Parts: sequence; structure tokens; C-alpha cells
Amino acid sequence: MDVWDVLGKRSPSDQFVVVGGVKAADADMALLLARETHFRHKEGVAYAVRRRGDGEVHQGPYPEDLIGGLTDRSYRRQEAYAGVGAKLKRVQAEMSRRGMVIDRPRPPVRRSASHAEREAERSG
Amino acid sequence: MGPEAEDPRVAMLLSLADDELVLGHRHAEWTGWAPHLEEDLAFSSIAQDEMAHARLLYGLAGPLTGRNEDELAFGRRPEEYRNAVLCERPNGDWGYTMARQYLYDTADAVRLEALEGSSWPELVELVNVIRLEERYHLDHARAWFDRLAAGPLEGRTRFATGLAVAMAEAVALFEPLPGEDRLVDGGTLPRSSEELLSEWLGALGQTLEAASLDYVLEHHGPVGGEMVPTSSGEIVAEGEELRAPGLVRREGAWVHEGGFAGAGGRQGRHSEDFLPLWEEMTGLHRAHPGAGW
Repeated sequence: MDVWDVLGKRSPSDQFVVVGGVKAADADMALLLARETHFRHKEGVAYAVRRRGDGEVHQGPYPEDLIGGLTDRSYRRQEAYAGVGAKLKRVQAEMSRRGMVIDRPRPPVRRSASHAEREAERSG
Repeated sequence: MGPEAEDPRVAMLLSLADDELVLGHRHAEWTGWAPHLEEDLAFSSIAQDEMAHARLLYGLAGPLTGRNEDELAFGRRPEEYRNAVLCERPNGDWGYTMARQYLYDTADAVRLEALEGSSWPELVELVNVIRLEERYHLDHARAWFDRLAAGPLEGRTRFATGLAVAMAEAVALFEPLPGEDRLVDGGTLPRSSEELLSEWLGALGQTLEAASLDYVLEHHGPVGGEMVPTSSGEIVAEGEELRAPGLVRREGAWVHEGGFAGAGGRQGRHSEDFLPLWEEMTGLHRAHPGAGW
């Protein structure tokens, strides 16, 4: 698959600037995928793709208000996790009040299990 | 007698919302496993859209049922869900998933377009928003349809197999709703499920013929829908198993022949695949009823 540069505008008066890239089989697929890979959190008002090394720019077909969606997507954003530490402290305080405590260690930080590992776990 | 029997709008809203919620749940199972990273993000985003649409519809049902969005989404027993069986089937391979997405989203487009003419203003307002977001889902489904149908051979074969497997259960998306006559008479549902099925099937038949895939309409799999025991082991859904109308080609167009008989997803009758999905989807809510985060 070809690599396509993804271009975006933060505001209507901006020029297109490169914001990243996607792999796609053709321009239409690149446009389809770039909308969600790069603009699903309303990072721009317009976007386009350009096959890396080519000059032709293909502009996204969606109007400004449809880029990033219309329904409430606040839960998808990083700030939706703000205050998690404070919430955890409140939970721990409430558990302590009930005479309970989290005494298991945190899970180790490592790569997610591979598909083969998950299948092996499932099959026991 | 529950609120659905008293007000057929509840059954309609739950059918629409449960389709979106359950299919969104299935789509979300591809997160981390989709064919490539870009598609993983795009399809996960579509999954979240479907759940957001379900949330809007549950919100509208709330005042009619006395239950909030979380209670409607996660606090009902399996036989209370009104989604079509198509939505609850496991993802299978990418060919089946894309076939199901194409069939579902084209069918959903037909019913949403009809609902824009509803006599219920609050519903029309929601449908307008949902339709705008669904445009991307349709574009996504059509893009994959075109590419998989064009080959190479293995991709086309898997896609065609997926279409054949999903086809009859997709027809059941138009299984008549409980109390549908009252919905149509009052203008809440501007056109009957049978009319909507005819419109969808006519357009679908043309698309499949253009791709030389119309044979899946003749050689599709059976409609699913079996009795599902509740978590207590009791079988509560009763009635004859759903039979969907036949699909035939007449005078150059695909039409349906006969009508629906028996009960399927719209009556709370689901396949053997639903209970494991329900247990996972509602597990947290059942373990901690009323918990917030």
C-alpha cells in the first residue's frame, strides 16, 4: 500500500499543512481513513491527502461540522480522564471506611498479549 | 403489561437503539485486531458512533419508561433486548464483518430517511443528527464493498460468503415492530417495515447485480433466532421461530415474497450468540448497579 501525507487546516483561513500520514490503497480510501485517524477529535476544519512524492492534493469531502462528529465525544478525549487519581483516592477512602483494602500489586507493565497468547490462555 | 405494550414508541426506540448498541459492541471487538492500524482507528470510531446513537435513542425512551440511559442499555434482561439477530452475531472474519456492515448501514439509512418524516418532532431532531454521522458509516461500508467485490479472488470470495450468511438475518432488520399498526397510523413511523424492506431490497439488488454478487440473494443462509434461556436457566421467550420473506427476482427487480411469521429479535427472541455478549456487555453494570465514574 502507498503512503499518503495527511494535510489539515486548523481554521478556514489556514493553509494546508502536513499533520501525519496513512497507508492506503488509493486516494479515496486514504481520505476515508485519514478523517478518523487524524481528525476524529475535531483537530481541523478541512483535510486532504497527497500520495507521498506526488503533487496532487485530494481534499476530504466532509463539511467542517461533520469532521469530528456531532454527538458528544468528550469521553474519547484525554481530559475525560482528568482527576482519575483523586477518584482512586476517594474509592480507597470509601473502601477503607468499609474495612476493605486493595492489596494486590499492580499488573506488570509489558506489551499486550499477542493473539496467540490470548488463544492459549482461553484454551487453558 | 410493560411500557412497550402501552406505548409502541418504546418498542420502536428500543429496537433502533439496541441494534446500534449491540452492533457497536461487536464492532468494538475489532479494536486492536482490525486488518491494519488506520482501519482499526476508523472502525473503532464507527463503533463508538453507534453507541452514541444508541445513547441518544435511550435518552428519548427514558421519560416513556422511567429508566435512564444506563439502565436501558445495561440493566435489562436478555429477553428484553429488541435488536435484530444480525447485530449480535460474532464478527467472524473481516469479509463477514464488512458484509454485515454494508447490509446493516444501507438498511439503517432507509429507515432513518423514513423517520425524518415522523410526526414525533423530538425523534426527527435526533434522526437528523444520527443521519449526518451515519453518512461516514455508509461511505466506509461502500468503500469496502467496492474493493472487496472487485477482488482479488480470496477477498471477494470471503465477502460473498459473508453476504450470503448475513443476508436473511439482514432482512429480519425489517421484522415488524410490536404495535406497528398504531405507529404507522399515528405517523410516528411514516412507512411500514414491509415498505421499507421493499425499498432496501430493490436498491440492494441493483448494487449486487452490478457487482455480479446477486447470487447471494438466492443462496443465502437461514434466519437465526432461537429460544434463549435467561441467566436463571428459564426460557421465557415463546412463540414460533421467525421466518423471513423469500427473496425473488420479478420483472427485472429483486422483491420479497410472503411475509414475516413467528417472532425474532424485535420480540426479544435471540440466537445462542446473544447471551455471552449480554453477559460481557452488562457485567460491570450488574456487578455494581447504579455506580458512576
